[in-house]
Amino acid sequence: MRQMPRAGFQVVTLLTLAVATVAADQRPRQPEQKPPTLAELGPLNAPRLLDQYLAGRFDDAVQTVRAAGDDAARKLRQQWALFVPAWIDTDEPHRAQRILAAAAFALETENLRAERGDWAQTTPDLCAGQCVVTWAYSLFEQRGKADDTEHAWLMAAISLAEGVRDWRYLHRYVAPPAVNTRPRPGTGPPPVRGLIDIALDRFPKDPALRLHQAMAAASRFSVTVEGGRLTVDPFAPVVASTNVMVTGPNGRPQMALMPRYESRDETIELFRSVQDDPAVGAEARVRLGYFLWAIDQDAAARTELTAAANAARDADIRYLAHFLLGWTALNSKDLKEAGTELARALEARPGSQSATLALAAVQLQQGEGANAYDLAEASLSKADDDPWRLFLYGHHPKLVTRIADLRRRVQR
Amino acid sequence: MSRPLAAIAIACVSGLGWLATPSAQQAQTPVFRARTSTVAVTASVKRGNNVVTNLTAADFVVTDNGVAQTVEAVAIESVPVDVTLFLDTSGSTAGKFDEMKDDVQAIIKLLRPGDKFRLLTIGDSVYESVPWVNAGATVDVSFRAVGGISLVQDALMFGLLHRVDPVRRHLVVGMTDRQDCGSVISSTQLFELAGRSEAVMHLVDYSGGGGETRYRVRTCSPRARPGGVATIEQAAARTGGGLQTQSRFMRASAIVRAFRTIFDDFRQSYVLRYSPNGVETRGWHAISVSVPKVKDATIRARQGYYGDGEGK
Repeated sequence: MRQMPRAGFQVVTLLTLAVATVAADQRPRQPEQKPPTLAELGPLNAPRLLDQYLAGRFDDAVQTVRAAGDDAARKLRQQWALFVPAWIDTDEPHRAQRILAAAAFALETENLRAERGDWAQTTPDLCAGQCVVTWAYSLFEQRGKADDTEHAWLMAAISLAEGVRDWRYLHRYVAPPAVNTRPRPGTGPPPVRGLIDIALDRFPKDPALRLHQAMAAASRFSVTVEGGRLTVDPFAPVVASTNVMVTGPNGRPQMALMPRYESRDETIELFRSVQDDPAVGAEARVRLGYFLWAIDQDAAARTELTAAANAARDADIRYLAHFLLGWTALNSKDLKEAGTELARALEARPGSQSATLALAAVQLQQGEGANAYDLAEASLSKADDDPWRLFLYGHHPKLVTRIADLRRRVQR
Repeated sequence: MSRPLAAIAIACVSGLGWLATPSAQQAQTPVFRARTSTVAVTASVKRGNNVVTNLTAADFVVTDNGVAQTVEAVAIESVPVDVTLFLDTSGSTAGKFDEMKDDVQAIIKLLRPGDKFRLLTIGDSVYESVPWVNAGATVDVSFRAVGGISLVQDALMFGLLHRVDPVRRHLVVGMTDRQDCGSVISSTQLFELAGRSEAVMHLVDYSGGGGETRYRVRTCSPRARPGGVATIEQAAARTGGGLQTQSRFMRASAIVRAFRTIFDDFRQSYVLRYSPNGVETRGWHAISVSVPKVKDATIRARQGYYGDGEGK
């Protein structure tokens, strides 16, 4: 791998820091503002909604937020830090359960915002999706030692962020020395470390978290176009550099630009660290294989995908591995190899659409149209939840079941 | 010509249900001779907005890779039709779903006895929302908005992948903005594969005014290839179809109006058949159709086919 020219990096960093510092000095001082009242942030009432949620009336609470409209839901975001800590404190014996309820409901309300296309970027003046989720996770520190309930909440939160493809929120490549700040809603800079990076402090070496950390790192490169890769013009400039956080001369975190190939190496290392894990190793290899293909390392990609296909105990992972082997072969016009691998994919998941369409395309080009027609019509006639379709959205398809799991834990 | 194409063509010419309208029969009695490789071309001939009728075989000049061919039969289309309608139900059209349901029912009523219909829609997959039904059937349709991916090319590919009974024709109509996201079939592959289909594919520009989508959590990935929209349109043209644009101010029932126009034209088109002479059998065969006696005629026909042995 190429190494970034150190001098070049330093110049870019210094320029970035200089501009940021000057801008900060010129910013007028804001007069201190009185915090708003609950009534001013209405009509929704977070403590009342949390009473409903904790009582197991999940759908009622969620539906109330949904029906209240966008403006009301945005005001709800400001209520979390101001009014929910007091709600948690009102029942000390059940504090842990109230923390879980607050964190789970906050997550559900952000899912509603995301459905409305309002995940949005958190800024110093706006507490949006990232900010609420980070606040919710900060509650778990008060809840006590890390446990499987906290892990379940994290996996749900990760699924949501993967759905909106906010990869930098999940994992940031942080240039040393690392900094760690956790802002409260409405205050301070956006999170410097990714959610998963912070979570790994409480779940060191957790394989699932590390897989998602690697996925987040890899997905920064996923500017693929249909059937193509990120190196295809005109998208190449998009990946020429990436934003990283560095510690500025005033000790505060600052953004700087650096070429992407350094974090590319980091991405590969992250996948490698879990590739032999019995639970997540096969998926790690599939995703590493796709990543390697996307950055033009075809032979290495084939090696990983083949290993994944052999190691996979799960039919979906086996399907993905064979599908990717076949699909990439089709795109490089190797029809024979494509046909073989796509047929294997369909052995793992008969009738799944992605492999069906790709194999039908192969068969049509081989003059075997009748087979292609039969294959396609059989596939269309059955319901399908092809795992390739949402592959680039991480585990977002699992969000619904993960929220259902959280609700069960709230009711315990 | 590919094997299935040849099989269809042969079956057609031995034709059990192959009929010409009275006017065409008066003009020329169809004579069909079975050959091992017969090419069928659906051709629409218009002057301005009017369909040109009562043409005979002698009126057409057809070339295959530049070599003039003897057209063996001309028949005004009166055979039953399999209609595949694709509605782009990606997030951008979610606000029109209720109107779309009514439109689907109205379209089924436009079909004639003997015709068949199916509806394809898209979400996280391509859905056969209405499997093949007979004309006039009452169907129950429901749509669900999803964000992110928009599998336009995969849906059109599924549309083309239909084994047509030899005595029938297949029309694919796609109502879509052609903005793909996440399809397995690339726009260039769709273009390539359109040349291997006997279906005629028309597109209707259906975009804008999508209203609120309830599920917009996901953003598009992977992105469509630059120029993909134009390539999809070229794929339609390759089959003898095309793109119909419409005013952005029209309400969704423009679907019915656009479909009626396409369907009426299709039903009044001609089928030209010939056995290729004087050309290599392999590879791409470019077809040219003209009608010298009709000045300023606009002719829409498939642009070619792949010959025997190609890719076998």
